Amino acid sequence: MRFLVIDDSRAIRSLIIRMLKELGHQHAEAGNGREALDIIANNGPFDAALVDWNMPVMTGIQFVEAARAKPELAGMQIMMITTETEVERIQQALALGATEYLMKPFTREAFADKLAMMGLDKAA
Amino acid sequence: MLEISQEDIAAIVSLVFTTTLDVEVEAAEGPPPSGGEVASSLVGITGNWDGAVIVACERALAVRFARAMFGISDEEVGESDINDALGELVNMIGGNLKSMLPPPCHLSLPTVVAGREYRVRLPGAKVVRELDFAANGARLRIAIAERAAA
Ligand SMILES: [Mg+2]
Repeated sequence: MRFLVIDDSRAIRSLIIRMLKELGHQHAEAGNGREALDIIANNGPFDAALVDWNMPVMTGIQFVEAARAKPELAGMQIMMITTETEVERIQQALALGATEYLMKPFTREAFADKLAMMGLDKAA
Repeated sequence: MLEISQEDIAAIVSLVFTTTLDVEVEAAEGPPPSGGEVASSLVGITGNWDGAVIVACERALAVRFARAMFGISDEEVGESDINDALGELVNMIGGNLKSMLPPPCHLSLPTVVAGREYRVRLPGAKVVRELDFAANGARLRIAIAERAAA
């Protein structure tokens, strides 16, 4: 599977990418929503985007809105990976078209479980 | 008034460290030793509660945190790696604390500061919680500063 990892923290991107590699997946990375849209335009499509909420330039929730406005990205699943853990935030993200939600901090097991729930557990 | 208890804060810090670093944190007695290099990071919270969450730790612990997140050795850890990892550390702690505050509240992007002090002064805000921990033999301090309601 091809994943796009979107987080302003290089540390979190690095952590997630290591987990993806261990699971046999491919990846690209972006530091904010804007960069992610550019990468999708040039290198898309991706099977799933893993998106942080709080980022400069374009936040994760703005990215979800922008991605869901593009019919050609309808097949891309979106998992929010964030410290924004209030119920209202989760509902907002899901209402705008996010597929799944994972709270930071997370374990390898929790991460792999979520991918499996999304049907994204098959290696690339 | 901040309604988050010391126990709540300790539980969140412990969760972040065990999950990300696989390291147990324990409460530490007395102030941390002075004179060493201290790395601090801060996130602001605005909205129904106004203030900041500050994480200050010995540089050695910051290096370890960066090493675990980037999956590299101590020698490979650079200054920008430490800043990035510490920023995410306070983002995770601050974000989880925010979920216990009356909504709506918003989290700022993190800021990292280097120095020799465990205390960061925030004009107009008062430190309402200060907890000292030890992790892997290094000291860590979490402070919550509250801005008086206007
Ligand atoms: Mg972020």
